[in-house]
Amino acid sequence: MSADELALLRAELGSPLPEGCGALDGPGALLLAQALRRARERRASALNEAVEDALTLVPALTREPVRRMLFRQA
Amino acid sequence: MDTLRGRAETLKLARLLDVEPHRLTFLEELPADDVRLFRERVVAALFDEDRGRLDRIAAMTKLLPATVAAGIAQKALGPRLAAALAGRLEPARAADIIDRLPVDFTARCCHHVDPRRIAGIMGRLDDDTVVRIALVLAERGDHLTMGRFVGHLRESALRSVLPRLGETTLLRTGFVIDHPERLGLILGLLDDEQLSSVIAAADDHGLWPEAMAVAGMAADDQRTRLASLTAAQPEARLDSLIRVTAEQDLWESLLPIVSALSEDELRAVAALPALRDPAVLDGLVRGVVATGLWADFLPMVGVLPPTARRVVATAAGALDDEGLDGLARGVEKEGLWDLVVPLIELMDATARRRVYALPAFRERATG
Repeated sequence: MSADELALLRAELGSPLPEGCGALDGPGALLLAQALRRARERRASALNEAVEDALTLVPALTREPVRRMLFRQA
Repeated sequence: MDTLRGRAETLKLARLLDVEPHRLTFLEELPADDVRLFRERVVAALFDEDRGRLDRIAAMTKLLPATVAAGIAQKALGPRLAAALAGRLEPARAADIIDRLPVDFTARCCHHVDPRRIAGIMGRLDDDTVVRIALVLAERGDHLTMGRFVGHLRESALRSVLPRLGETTLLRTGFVIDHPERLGLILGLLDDEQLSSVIAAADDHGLWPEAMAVAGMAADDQRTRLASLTAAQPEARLDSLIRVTAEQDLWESLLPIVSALSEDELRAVAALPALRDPAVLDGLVRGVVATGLWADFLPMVGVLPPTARRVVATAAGALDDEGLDGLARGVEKEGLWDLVVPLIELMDATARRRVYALPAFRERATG
């Protein structure tokens, strides 16, 4: 059954699937959903790491306030 | 054409998701336009996340002179964060910083830039910077990134960079170009000798599918030009094109190119040894049935050598009822009766009876 996997893919995408993607089978939809999740996680973690690296340039005393400002929820 | 577009779209999505392309080959079964739409939504899902934080960092860089911002980007941010920030800055500001970065670093950033922001940034970079970035990307073999960018290059930048790119780079980049409507301009900037070398390289490097995809995406006049230059290649090269097409079942891509040939060119192609091979011809007929490209195919049948024409007639006569019905409907739709009747006459008696019993043919006979 691919309905669950398609729903998972839609949720991961955060927008509707193009019509033709409705023909994806369960394993295909699941693979895409997992790949998208991993890509988001990788991107987020790489950005966090890059921000932390960049923070080392900020004087130690002001580093924490700057970090809080950058990491606060929008 | 859809098969090759599907392959290109699969490569682009695999890059975006950072997975091995072979794991996504199942996507080639879907309409290429839907895979492209899906990819665009994946771009939004990936690049719109974290916008708040990136905007805050981008706002901080506004306080710095471009030279200082460039120094920080290179020394502390790294290509991924620098590219993410470039996507959040005003394009003019991003271009101002990029102009001050070493080209190797910029080329690494290109891989990570939000594709939706490329046009704004590229439009503000000077030609020299653009050309140097393109050459680094070419050297790194990063054709997918080049395919994203090339559609946004100004004509003056294209004029500088195209003669400096190798034939295989042109083929691989053209295959994955994000704005194929720019191919007309790009091909127009290459003279016949350069294009003939690109075509020869397609054969030498196993890139006929890439070449067919480029020709298929080109505007009519450039497709005709590419078709003629291809037909002028030595017989062995053309034979290899036909063999690759048959092996990968790419008739839907090749036939529209063949149909752009003049009658003399078509005769030269029709005389190729590969087009006397019954297995190739059988696959060709099935490819035409599957794609309905009768208008592209039947003129070529008319100039095939008699033996080959008979093989085509036999293959067509052996089609099941659905296939024959498809032939009849295609012929009716395109008004190809004059071309198909000689082919039917070459079929055996049983096949002829089946064809003439089809409603479309009966109506034609009585009409």
